[in-house]
Amino acid sequence: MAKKLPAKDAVIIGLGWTGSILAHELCDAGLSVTAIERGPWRDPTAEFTPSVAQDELRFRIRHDLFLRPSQTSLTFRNNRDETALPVRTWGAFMLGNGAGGGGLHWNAETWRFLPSDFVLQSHLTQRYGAKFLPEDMTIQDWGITYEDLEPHYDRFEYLCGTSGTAGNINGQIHDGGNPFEGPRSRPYPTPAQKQPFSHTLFAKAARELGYKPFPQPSGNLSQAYTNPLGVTLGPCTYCGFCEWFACANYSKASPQTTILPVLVRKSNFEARTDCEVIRINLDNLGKRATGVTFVDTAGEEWEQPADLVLLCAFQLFNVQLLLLSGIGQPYEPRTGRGQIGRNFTHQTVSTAIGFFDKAKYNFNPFISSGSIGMCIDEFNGDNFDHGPLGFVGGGYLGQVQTNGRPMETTPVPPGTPAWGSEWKRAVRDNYLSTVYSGAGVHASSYAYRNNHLDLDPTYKDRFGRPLMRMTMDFHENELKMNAYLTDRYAEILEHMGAKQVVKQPRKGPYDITSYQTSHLCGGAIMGTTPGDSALNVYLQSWDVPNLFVQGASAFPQNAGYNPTGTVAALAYWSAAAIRSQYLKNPGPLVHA
Amino acid sequence: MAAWKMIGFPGTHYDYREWVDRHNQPVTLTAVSIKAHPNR
Repeated sequence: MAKKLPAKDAVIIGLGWTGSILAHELCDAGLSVTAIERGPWRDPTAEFTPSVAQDELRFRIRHDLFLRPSQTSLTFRNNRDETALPVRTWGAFMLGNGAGGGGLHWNAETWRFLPSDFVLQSHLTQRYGAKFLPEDMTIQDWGITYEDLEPHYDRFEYLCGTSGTAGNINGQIHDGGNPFEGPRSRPYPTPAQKQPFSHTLFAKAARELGYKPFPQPSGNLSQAYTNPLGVTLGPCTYCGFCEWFACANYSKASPQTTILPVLVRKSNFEARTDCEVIRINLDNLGKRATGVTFVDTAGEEWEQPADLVLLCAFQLFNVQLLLLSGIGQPYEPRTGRGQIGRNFTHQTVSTAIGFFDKAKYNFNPFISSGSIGMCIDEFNGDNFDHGPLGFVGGGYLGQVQTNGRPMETTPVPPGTPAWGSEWKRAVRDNYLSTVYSGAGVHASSYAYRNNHLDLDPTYKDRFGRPLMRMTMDFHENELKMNAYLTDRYAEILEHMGAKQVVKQPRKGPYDITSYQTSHLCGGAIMGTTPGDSALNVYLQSWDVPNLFVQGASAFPQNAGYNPTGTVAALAYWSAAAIRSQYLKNPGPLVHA
Repeated sequence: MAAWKMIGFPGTHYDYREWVDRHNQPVTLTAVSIKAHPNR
């Protein structure tokens, strides 16, 4: 029998980016807020000082900051003909663990989506005709526009101190920035980071080929910055130990370095870490959330009653918790009915490796940051004419190499033996003179009827709850699109002066063991009607009006950009609606 | 650190701000590791 805690105005499930943003907004509005976080408290300054932080074996190879599959996992299959099996080691994506969530260990690549990304279905249909899209593609419009979100993108960038060069300020195109970006109301809060040699050379080659390269927007700050909450971040030192590491330098934007120092000092805020929410509780009619039930480290069950529930866990666990709590209808791909688990997407990334003459080129790859890089956006979204090409979608291309960490940075030319003295010689001869971006091509992932999430029929977690089952495969559209982009990327490396370029386009089937960003999206998507979405445009559940579901689970499909900027902008947009409308008059904000 | 020295990785240096603009120049820092960090 669960022990009941005193009621709060709001309970927040998960203390990552969206949990921290929503907690701060609701505390600011005067609510009593409790956040329940499955993982541990994380204090970068105390736990991840330079004397221990730059440990590639511990953090990159042994996944020290991540969820342990033994705590909870998922099952995977490519299609419905197969039996899904449990994932025992993370591969295709990494699942965060603890306060800060993904925001603790991310690269801090802080992008905005394109205006056309938000009206994707109507835009592509209008330009190319409905028959141009694959029959089983299930992309949708979001129900909001880029203009709706712009002030909230701005707010997140100024929270983080994002370093970048604006390309479009109120419609005026500025040299040096991204000419394709949607109009922003003002420049970035801090200037772009400095770019090392190979990144600068990439931009020069891109420019010579007629492209308009620009620095990748970076949450690794170029200079010290104090944000509107009064929290000060320091300048990034290009240490090259960014993604999957925590930053004690206070120069990587994270909940810890932007919001939590202020939030934890609010008397109306409470956080419980190492507590796993196992269910959102509903009333007898199933139309109102009464709070959550969670389990602590002693295995004790607790009930936290609340008037308002914010589901702010990672995409995968948002969808799982909705299904386990009986909220909404589970999606069934055979019939197409049900919204929860539908339109699951990821990211379609690839790269090419450029080997250069070591006598002429010294790239010092270890001088880098998580969001370093020079990019071009000519092949993103619908920025180019897809008509003659026979596919839709796109992504940014860039020399975005983040590190020269020795265990991972062993590019060798094809034909090199896989071990032994020949291999060592090749590693030595190529380490300093190879362009080796993890994802030189970072492209979209559009939604399909068959790619979905549901509850596994066989495998259960330690509480006896079904694991999430992921059914996912690439479709011809994404592979064709990615191959085209990889060719364009390789051309730039060739023009840079590489003596050999090895293309590595994305190939099917979708491989659960191969890392391809952690940008999982969909499964509880936003939209304009309950018939084709789980949430209304304010991320409010159609089924349970006092439940709001944040995060990339709301994306109807994924665009050709890292999703965090859009995740945070949506959180601010949703919070604004909660504060200005919902709190004054609780109930559905949109009447379908 | 033999392998690091062989490939030209200077180890777990923390601050490259004075090196990021020195394009195409060797980094002449002595190799360090967290094992040998002065704070340990």
